Amino acid sequence: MDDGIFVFIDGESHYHRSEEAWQSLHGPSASLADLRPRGQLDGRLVLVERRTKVFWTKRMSAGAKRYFYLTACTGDDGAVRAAMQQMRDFDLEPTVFKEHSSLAKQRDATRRTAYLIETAKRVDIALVVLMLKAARERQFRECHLYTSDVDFAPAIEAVRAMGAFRVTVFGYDNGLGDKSELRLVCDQFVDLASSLRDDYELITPDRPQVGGAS
Amino acid sequence: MTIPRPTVLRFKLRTELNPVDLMEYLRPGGKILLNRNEWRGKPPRSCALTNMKVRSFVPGKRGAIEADLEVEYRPPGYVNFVGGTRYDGWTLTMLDKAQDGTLLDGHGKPLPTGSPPVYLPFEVYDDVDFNDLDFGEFLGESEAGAVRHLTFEDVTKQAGEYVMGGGSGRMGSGWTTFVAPRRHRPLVKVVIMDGPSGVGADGFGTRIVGVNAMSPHLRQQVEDELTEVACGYVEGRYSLVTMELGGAAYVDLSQVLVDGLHSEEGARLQCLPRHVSETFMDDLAKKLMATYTLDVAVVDGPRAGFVMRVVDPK
Repeated sequence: MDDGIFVFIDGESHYHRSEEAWQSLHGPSASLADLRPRGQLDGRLVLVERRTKVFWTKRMSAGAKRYFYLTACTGDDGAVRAAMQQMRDFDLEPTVFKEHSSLAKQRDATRRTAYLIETAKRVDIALVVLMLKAARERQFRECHLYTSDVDFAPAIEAVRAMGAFRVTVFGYDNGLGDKSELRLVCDQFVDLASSLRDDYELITPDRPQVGGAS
Repeated sequence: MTIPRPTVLRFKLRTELNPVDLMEYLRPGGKILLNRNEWRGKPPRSCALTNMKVRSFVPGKRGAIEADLEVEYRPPGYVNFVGGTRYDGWTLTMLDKAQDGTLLDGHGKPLPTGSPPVYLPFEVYDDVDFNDLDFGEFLGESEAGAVRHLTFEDVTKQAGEYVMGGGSGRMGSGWTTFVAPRRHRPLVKVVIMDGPSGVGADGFGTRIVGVNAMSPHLRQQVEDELTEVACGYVEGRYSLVTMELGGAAYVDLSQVLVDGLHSEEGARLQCLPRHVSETFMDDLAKKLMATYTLDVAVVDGPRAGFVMRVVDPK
């Protein structure tokens, strides 16, 4: 049995909730691309790719062994490949599903009008399969799941039921009730909003960044 | 040069906290934390609680629980990798280079010719005073995570034992069952030469990677090419001189590099130590283990290379 931490990221939920939290801290025009770890202006510590809904920093779950980022995007094969290469260069193991633009638009409209994040079903199912497979093969001893989607609760229960696995969920309190299943089924629930507030800062034009952010 | 050794410190903790509160106590916010100050003789920011196993806990029943804790000590100077990211101890480091790939000197200027590459440090872990935390009873400290070192004699002895056990122990470049074999898997040589850098092939189909001897950062370029060759071998793209060791392979890296500027054989071949840094083999072994499900030991001496064994991910 391995003794590392595996990280599974529900890309779309993580990206949109993070963007909302960041904008509630710094105003509606604040962009995740202008986020830096406090005191570290180097852009290479942060990966933001709007089109594929990628948001990750080197501080998130630092010390884990593997990072699986699952997301969906529209666009041509070249764009998908480029996004996957970018994620690999950042030590993320990407799974990017291409989807029809009409579906993506429909979900985007739902998000804007009903404030409800509907993620691509293939992403959710692929994430659950990946997580259960790794747990069944006992590849990790601890699992970090980045999502605010309560639909993952049964998968978390299943992983924990397999034995000595700890599951920590990193999500956003906002929108989850006090008795949300997502909060109750895991070993630890971490509200990322406080992490965004305490661990990161907004770079402004008078504090130019160092290095390249995407 | 002595490479600092990492260790693991083990503790047994008895506590009245339940597992959820214990996690919050030792890993607030789900984060791995480092020791802010000196702790148990270890320098600041060199230790982290990386593993915790809770035993004898009955949900709903409040009472003493037992937890096995493991604290990893990674001293400054101990290089390790997560994917392709390099860490010095617990400090993330990144090669200082411009967006066009030009190596920089740490102050935004091009790296002078011949200077070692500069890695910029980034702290990605928070810290806490470990002296304020109760880790419980100290059980002991043992070495961990260090790359094993062998001599070529150790390798031939292992091969002998394998042959005695019925294995073939053949030496050659054709053992391709180590990974899914490709139809074309050329041998590779990295040749330091007078001519311009580039890739070609000789009459036997060997892939020749030429590196110009006047390249401004020759050592870095040679190390990059050797890293690519080692990864290519593991991925089944290239062949190297290997020896089968029954489930493992000795991979002779010393025969990959050729110093084309010397005519005498001793200087042309087995020139690896002259052209790579002292820590290169260790760093490459760690990089391979971080990227592939491999166990890698470094073979020292003139036949420098690796003994690689595929680790069952289960």
